[in-house]
Amino acid sequence: MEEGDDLLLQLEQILENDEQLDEIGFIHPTQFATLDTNSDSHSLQFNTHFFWNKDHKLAISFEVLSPLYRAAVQKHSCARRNYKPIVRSCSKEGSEEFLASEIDLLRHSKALVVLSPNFPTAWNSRKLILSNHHDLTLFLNELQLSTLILSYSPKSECAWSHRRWIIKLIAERFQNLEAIIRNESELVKKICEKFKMNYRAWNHWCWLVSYMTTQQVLDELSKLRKWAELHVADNSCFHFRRRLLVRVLQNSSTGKAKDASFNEESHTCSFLEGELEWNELLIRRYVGREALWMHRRFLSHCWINKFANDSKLNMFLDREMQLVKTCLVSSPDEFNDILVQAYLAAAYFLWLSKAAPQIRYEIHGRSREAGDVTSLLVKISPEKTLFWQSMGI
Amino acid sequence: MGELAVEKHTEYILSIEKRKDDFESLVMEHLRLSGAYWGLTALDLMHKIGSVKPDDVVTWIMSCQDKESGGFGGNVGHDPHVLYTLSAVQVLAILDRLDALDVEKVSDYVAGLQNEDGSFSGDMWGEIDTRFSYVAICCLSLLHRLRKINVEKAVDFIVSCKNLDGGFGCIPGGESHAGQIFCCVGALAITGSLHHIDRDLLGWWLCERQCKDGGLNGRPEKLTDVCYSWWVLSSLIIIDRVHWIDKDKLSKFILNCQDLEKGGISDRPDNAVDVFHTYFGVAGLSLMEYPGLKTIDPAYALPVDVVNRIFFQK
Repeated sequence: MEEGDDLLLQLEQILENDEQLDEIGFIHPTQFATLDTNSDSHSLQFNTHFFWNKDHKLAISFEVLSPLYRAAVQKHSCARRNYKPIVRSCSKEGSEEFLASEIDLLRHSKALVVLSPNFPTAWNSRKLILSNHHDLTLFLNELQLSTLILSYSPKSECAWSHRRWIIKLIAERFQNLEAIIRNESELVKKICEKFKMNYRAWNHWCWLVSYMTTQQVLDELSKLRKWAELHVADNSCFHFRRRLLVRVLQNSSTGKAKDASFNEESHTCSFLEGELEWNELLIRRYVGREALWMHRRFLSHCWINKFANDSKLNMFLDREMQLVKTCLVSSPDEFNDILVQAYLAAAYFLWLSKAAPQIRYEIHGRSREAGDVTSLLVKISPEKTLFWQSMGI
Repeated sequence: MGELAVEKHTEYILSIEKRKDDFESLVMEHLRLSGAYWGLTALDLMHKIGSVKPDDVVTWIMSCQDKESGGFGGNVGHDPHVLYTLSAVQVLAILDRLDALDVEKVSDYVAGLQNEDGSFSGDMWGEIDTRFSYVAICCLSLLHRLRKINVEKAVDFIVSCKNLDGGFGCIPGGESHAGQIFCCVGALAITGSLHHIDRDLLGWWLCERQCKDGGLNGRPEKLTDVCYSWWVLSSLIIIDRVHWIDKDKLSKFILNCQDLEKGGISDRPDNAVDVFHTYFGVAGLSLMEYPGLKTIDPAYALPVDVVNRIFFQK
């Protein structure tokens, strides 16, 4: 077997040469046989038993991961030691020695994060260098590196956090984030398509909301609707909608919205109404989905807080009661989904009575309509008996 | 299912140090200090801390410190981060060797990570997360140096991450997640600020995490996982709502995740074990007063006798 250093050199050359690399996979040696070997006529020399590179995809054999990793750790830590003292002693940043040490550290840290996406010190080495630069292309390339790593390590906290660091830098130094936000939103959607309820990915998107304009928030809300309909169990997606809705509602209550389309109370009301109707449609269509009922709790909460003293309250509660009643079943022998739906509906009813103390009286008046929800909840979910009893109406 | 296999789990934890050649172990090297915390706390809870040599551990831990900043990295030669700084403090506390630390230096590092809005960065690069708030507050409290930060602002930031469902996320507007909830509730408990929590509302969200198999999940629509036995249960205990879930069913779920042959606990029954889930399984059982285990403190995530030693034997 070749030495780790040789292998690392080959890997680093591939990474440098293929600037458009968009996917990396670590594969079993036997899988190499199944890969198309009619590869492009590479100017690069690398061992085809361990590496495969075509159409901007790179495969690395499991067999060489450990020696590669060890070599990368060692080379990176040498490069890091060489880099720091030069930064301090060198007043002229353009000196050859300085540039060489920079290139060295960039090369080895890249190989290391490719092999071990959560190796924080290697990401930090890159930040150390980038913070001394003012070149937008360099920052965009860095986002691309993070994208590449997220393609096979979608939960890598370091890769996500590195993105945010770069975006903050771009926001400070170049300001316009519109195109970047568009790209980020595509990236998150693509990743969440493949890996469901990825907390890190959705959290990244939530983080971006504060950088969005009101128009972008509204666009995201409408674009995301289709996506949500196809992923009704994705609680993170619905949470993200809630994050966007809160922005819209805040803007409308503080009159911040400059486009004036959502700064009126009536608009807020119709906006919430629209979301409630859509959510009800999904609840009836996709039976027994917790994420949908959680979303309804949020919407009702907002609605009640805005309009509790309004004449619309009774109409609102009548509709909620109607929905709850049609979802309730009394016999626990029903099919699983139907039973779960009954459970979620009963819990929602109970939740309404507790979460909005200002309408407790109205809810109380309707509790007979719903029947004995507490007993139903205890029957379906006996592990929480004490909870249901202490919350019961 | 059976009982908690204390001997097997001890062997498993001690064996982790020896297996170092496969790629899976290598890529975990950067968080070895947290690994040490999980392993050693589990051992201590099982009354097996005597099976490690404290001097070796202390020497290694101190070699993970970045002398310049005072913070600790996840392993020798790694950049300092508040996460590993807490792990170092916790392990030294378990071994009763906090005297090895330059307390002012370490606490200055942690306190220096507080931002203007009260939040905490994880390290000099500025990523903000309520996890780092908890870690910093827990660490400073264990070192008796909470006075070095603006506690009021730290609490305000945590409260700003509360959602309408009663839970907490990483940042303001972030999705509620049981792990983040533990961090926020723990930090509020340590700073005496639990009045910011609506106990019934948060307790509701938390107890809805218990699923049919008895285990807990970390968010709606997710699978159960042993690690949430810690995050959810400790939060429920702190806010005094733990009677709302079925503890027997949860104990059975955890015991079902044991590898009775080789030792260790996995995330779900029949999956591969790891030290992270072994710790959380044992810690969860300890919260439920499983016989033969030491009791763990739900906010500091350390055995109660260790916490008492720090706060009551000054």
